[in-house]
Amino acid sequence: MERSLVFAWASLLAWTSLVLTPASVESKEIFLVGSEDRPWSEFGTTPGGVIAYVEALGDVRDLADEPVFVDVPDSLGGWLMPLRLSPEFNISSDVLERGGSIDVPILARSEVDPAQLEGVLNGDHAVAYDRKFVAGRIVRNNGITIRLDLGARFGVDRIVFYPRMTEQFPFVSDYLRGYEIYLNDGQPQNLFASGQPIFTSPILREPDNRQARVDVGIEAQFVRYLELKSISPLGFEIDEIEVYGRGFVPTARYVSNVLDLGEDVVWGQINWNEIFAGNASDSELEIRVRSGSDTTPDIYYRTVSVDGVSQLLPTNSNGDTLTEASYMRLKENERGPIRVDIANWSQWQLAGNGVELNVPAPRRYFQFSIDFTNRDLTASRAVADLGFEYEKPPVDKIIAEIGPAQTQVGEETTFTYFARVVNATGRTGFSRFEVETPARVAAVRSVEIFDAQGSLLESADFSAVNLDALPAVAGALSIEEVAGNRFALGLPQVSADGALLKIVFDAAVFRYGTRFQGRAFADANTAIPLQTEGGNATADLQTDELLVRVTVGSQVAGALSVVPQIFTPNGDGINDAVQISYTVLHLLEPSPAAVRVYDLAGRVVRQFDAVQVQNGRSDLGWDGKDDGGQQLPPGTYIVQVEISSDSSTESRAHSVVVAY
Amino acid sequence: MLAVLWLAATTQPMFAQDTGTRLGSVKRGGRVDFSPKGPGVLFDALDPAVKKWYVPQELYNEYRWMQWEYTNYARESYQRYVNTSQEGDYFYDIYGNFVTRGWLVYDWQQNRPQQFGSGILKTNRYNTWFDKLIIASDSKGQYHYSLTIGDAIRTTLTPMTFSKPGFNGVQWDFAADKYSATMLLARPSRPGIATSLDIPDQKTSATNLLGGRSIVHVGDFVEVGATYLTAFQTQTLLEDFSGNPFSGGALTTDQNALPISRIIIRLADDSPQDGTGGAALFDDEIIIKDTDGNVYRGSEINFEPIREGGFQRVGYISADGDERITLTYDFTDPAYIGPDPSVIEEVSFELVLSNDYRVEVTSDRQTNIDSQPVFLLVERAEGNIRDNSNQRLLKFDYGLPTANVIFGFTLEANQIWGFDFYGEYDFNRQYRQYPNVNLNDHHKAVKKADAWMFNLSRIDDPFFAFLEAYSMDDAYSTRTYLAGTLRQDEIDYEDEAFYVYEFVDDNDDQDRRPDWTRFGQPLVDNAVFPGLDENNDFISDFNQNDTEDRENFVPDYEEPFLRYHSDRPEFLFGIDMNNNGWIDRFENDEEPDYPYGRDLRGRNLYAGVMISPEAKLTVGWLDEELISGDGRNRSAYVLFTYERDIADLGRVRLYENFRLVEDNIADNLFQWVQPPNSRGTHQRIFDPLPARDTWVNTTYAQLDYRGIPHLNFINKVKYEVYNQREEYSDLRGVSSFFGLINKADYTFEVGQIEIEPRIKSEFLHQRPFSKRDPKRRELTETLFLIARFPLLRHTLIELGLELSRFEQFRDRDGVPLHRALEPDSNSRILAVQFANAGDYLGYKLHLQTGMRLQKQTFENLPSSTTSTIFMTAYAGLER
Repeated sequence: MERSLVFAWASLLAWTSLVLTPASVESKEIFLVGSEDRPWSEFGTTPGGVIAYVEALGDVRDLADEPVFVDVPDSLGGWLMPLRLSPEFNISSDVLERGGSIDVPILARSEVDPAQLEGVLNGDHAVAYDRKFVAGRIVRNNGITIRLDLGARFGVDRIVFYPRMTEQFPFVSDYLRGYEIYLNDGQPQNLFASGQPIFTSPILREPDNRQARVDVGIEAQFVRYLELKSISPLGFEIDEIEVYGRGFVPTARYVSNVLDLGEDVVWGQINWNEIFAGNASDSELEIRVRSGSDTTPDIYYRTVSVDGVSQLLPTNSNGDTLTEASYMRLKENERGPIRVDIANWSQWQLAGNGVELNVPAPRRYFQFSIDFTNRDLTASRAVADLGFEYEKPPVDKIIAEIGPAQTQVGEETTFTYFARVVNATGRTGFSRFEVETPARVAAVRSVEIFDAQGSLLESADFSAVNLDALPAVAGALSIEEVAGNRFALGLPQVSADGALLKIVFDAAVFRYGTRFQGRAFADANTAIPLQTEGGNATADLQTDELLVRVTVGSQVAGALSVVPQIFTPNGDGINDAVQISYTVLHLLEPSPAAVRVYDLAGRVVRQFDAVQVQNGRSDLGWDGKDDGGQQLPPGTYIVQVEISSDSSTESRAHSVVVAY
Repeated sequence: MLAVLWLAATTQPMFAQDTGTRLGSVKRGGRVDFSPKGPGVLFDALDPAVKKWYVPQELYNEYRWMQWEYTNYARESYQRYVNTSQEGDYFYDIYGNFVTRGWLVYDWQQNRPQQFGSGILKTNRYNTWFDKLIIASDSKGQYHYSLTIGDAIRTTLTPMTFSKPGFNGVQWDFAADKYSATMLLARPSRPGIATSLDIPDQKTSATNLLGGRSIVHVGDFVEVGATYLTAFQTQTLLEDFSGNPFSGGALTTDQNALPISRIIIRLADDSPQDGTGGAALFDDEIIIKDTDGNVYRGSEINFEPIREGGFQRVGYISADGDERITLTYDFTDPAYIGPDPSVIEEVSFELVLSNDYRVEVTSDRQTNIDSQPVFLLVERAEGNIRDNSNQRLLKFDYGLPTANVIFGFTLEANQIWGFDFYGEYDFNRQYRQYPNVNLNDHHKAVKKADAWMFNLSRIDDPFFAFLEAYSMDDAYSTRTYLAGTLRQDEIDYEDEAFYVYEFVDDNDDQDRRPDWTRFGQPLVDNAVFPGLDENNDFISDFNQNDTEDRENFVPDYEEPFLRYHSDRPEFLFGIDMNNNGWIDRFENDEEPDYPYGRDLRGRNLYAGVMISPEAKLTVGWLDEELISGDGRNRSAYVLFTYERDIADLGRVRLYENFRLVEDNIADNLFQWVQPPNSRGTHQRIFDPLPARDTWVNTTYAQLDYRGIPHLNFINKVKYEVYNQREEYSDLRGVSSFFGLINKADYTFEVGQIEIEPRIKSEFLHQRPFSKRDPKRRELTETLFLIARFPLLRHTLIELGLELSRFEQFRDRDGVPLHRALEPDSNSRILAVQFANAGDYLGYKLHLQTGMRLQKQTFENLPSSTTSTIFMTAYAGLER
């Protein structure tokens, strides 16, 4: 409960700080879904209908009338959460609406009447699935299996089935005389490659059933597929199969409508308020986002056969573009894939709470989805609201490219970065430009600005600038900041359509596919920059992208240097220590690195604490003392760096001389 | 009437009873020669008349039949003049030499180029006369050979390359003192089925098998062997040597009918359960080569795939957990400006990848029967790397599968410095070809995988030692696709039952039927009871009354009366090297019967001492790992066995197996599970990984007392405990199994009546691995009484009574029984059997009739009464 409280309020504070940031100081705006103005139910849909819209989370109570969610912030209302089953809710009643199905898989389709199977679910007590003996018809019932796909996963604890027992259809004697019930939770590891469920042992088995109405309780568990198997040769009929459960559904999804921001905008942070029930580790939610430039992010395809060849068409038989509604009206075997309209929309990307959105910008349209995953029936998350920042971009867009497109891994390389301004709408422009780098740059050599015709407007040579003493100003241009992962330039207001920014800098690349992302800020108060897009910014370069590649490789231990190679740790202030520098290559995750100093007899005289290192260069100073703090005798020592990756452990060694 | 009588008196007989030599020419010495002579002329027919002769020369010669003659068979009944179905046809070899007069039994022909050029004919005589088996053999001196044509030949080359209980094809074997060789030929896609219609099964495209093995003895102690196998697709429309079986076969007419218009690459996480570190895709590139030799790179012609799925990271896309990345290359996209699909000869891909990737590929020509694309594996990452430290450039060519080739070498040495050695190394090459209807020879791509093993042992009495090491790549495959098994030339890449051929079958119960359904093989097993077959009748000793004619799916330990002799496998002792809780020799899986598992690399070393002739102590160490995952099984074990037969007293057995195990490799099974009082079924059993870091001890003792004549007293006790060294959320800290079986039977006679009382008691106390499974404490006590009354000389009446009580031990009264537990029950069975064993038509005829009544009562459940009445006759050769 304490953790719940902490989590909830931490989240709330994060969100409140975002909301309360005075928008007047910055020009950013916030689009908030889940508020009174934009309620969840009107701004999105839920595939399978397993999302619940709850006004007051405190009203969600268990059978003992205890609140399921504790410590709900009073200030927030209008919650979104996965469906929580009540004991009276028959899960099977809306299987077909949910996208589930009912089938008898061991029989050919011609042997099964779909209307009868549908009658097993609709609760009408008039139509039943009939396997009774009729004169002139051979009915083999031992092994007949009815498979129910619930369309989503539910926590099931009770299963009921029975024949028609009404006055009109008095078939009480035609009940299932022997049965087995199999369950499958629909998890990928429990499905065949074809997607069909793997049923193992029956959860229930009754070879000699005497009850017309079978009403059995089972240990509550997540179920997606259910099989009811006859193990008796006798004829039977099934009027209804009812499935009941409890707790939260294990997975649920909410997909927002395509949100129209009115014009092309750039994206800032995304934030949401969430709270959990049960054990926090048993539930999680993932939010994915994408941006686009029209209102139709998905293309729906229809499968048609032309001269025996299967083809995909995005139109219906009348030639009209398929929409979600018309796609769903197609027969199942006509439904082709649903693909992202990659020309106008980005792929879904995972978003982090309080993290800047990393989807293409500027774009006018935005969409998000929320995936709830619950690993326990009592655990779930609920979301109060979700908001994201956006702002008008300083220019329409900036197309950038970098060269050379390929270099040696870990080697300082002089890169030329071109950024072409596109500003046909005459926006205000930008005065600060940042470039993301994999490590601190060694030098920013020059910055130049050209107009659309190629005439030089501004230029500055920063070759001699000490990057530790910033800002460095040269006319209207300046180097504002150099950090471990970026450098920032001050520019005169750049707004002209076609203007070209050329930056020359020295940097090292430590893994394949390093992206030099550029970001343009309108001014110092701008919170949301415009990200550059890879493309053809200039004819001087043919790369047309922001990625720099290195030789593909898996060697993680790069160069090791010890400077100076001879040092005198005598406390005179001159050459009293060495700097051990080593580079780590290719890694995407931090890995442990150990630095040791050996004497020539192979003994470890100094062992530094192991640290987790990322891609790039790491530095370490050594004062010539051993692990006991004693000054080492003069001589030659070996510095060894050992980097452990998932594949192997690699080491580099370098000699160093201690002299007095 | 007079005319008729005159005719009857004057007419010569119209045929001769003795056909003599009329169907052949007589040579010197009276020998009849049927060799062909070419067209000749009948001397009598040389009449310069306009009328044509329409009666066969033979009929004129023999019967004097003439075409204008009226035929009347009133007095002399008609006799057929030639009946080939009774006397046979005349057959000539390819040189025109007369072979024999008889019947065609088997004929396999392949003619190219022509439609339906591959034909196999198995006539009905192949079935009925020869029971689907023909053998031709010869020998001279040390040289022997045998040519076998059969539908179910037990054939093994080596256990890792070819082993089938029912090989359908042709096997040619040769053996000399120092050399031996075998050659296999088959058309597994349509092996031919004998029918009364005697119609050859003709195909244009088919999958053929060609293979063989040869062994050379080097000196007295060393044997070197080589194995080669290829199963390849062939097409009879091709001329000359196109589609060479040794270099990848050929595309079928269906595979090559249309150009590929769409290729889809799918990247996934090879260890999705950890949810992280899945495939990381940094770059992708397609390279297209046309028939003129021009090469186009996708990046140069702006041919980008549609990239779907995955998480966008900085500089790469990742497919973690259940996420998938698909790259769809659509050659019909209007933006595509590369060569027309009809002139594409070769398509290659370059992917910059890292982490725990799994790469699969499909196309619109690689589909199932519903035209849905079927993905086939290209590559899996070794291990479970998450930090990019295995980044690589993966290059592969796309093509449709055309052949699977395996070649390898074996070395066997016996008693060299006291050591015995067997080693085998096999290379697997899986060929694919890119289709283009305008080409006869297509670009070939090959996927390589290897497997090897060796065993080294030495016995230096009283010490012994054994070392085994093995490795089998995950991609190593002994299967191939079958072309056109159901429909002409088509392949459904998803349907294993009809479109997959296995070199090594799954046959865990080691009977004559493979355990899986495959086209063209003996009938599939309906029930697989792996385990002991100590009496070598191809029937598991757990289900001795299962026969081909009358299948029985109930193991003997569940059947009335039979349950006295047969005990449940969990009460028995056995080795469980893969630590999945099942004794290895009782396991059934769905994998080919390789001696070692696929995707595993490991070694096992043990050494021991024979403490006495009855006692043996073994100490060993096993270390194996998944090649493409991060699973590992490390076990240190001690095994002590003691077994002694004491004259006039009985037999004592004692087994003790103690091991320290760290095993997180899942060894899933497909076991026959027999619920109590009901019908059993095959079920997939997922390995609960009960020994992830665990002390395991298994103790088993058995005492068979035979000290008193006619009294057998058998006692078995097993205690197994898994003690977890760490805490796991799903496993009990200590799980155990205690099983005790006590059995006694005594036979005595009262006058002519033989009476045999038996008693059996089974006690089980189990704490299952999973915390979700309830503890079990169960006792089953069964009393049998069987009496035999001889009526006459060959007639017996046998009466049997079985009383059984099953009881769950409760901790407290009133606690409802867990639903997974079997309720208490009582069973009463009464059986009467009238048996006659007499001689009849040379057989020993056993006639049995009788009935069996069974009543069961259950706790809180209705009772049930069942009965069986039978009248059965068996014709045997012995009693």
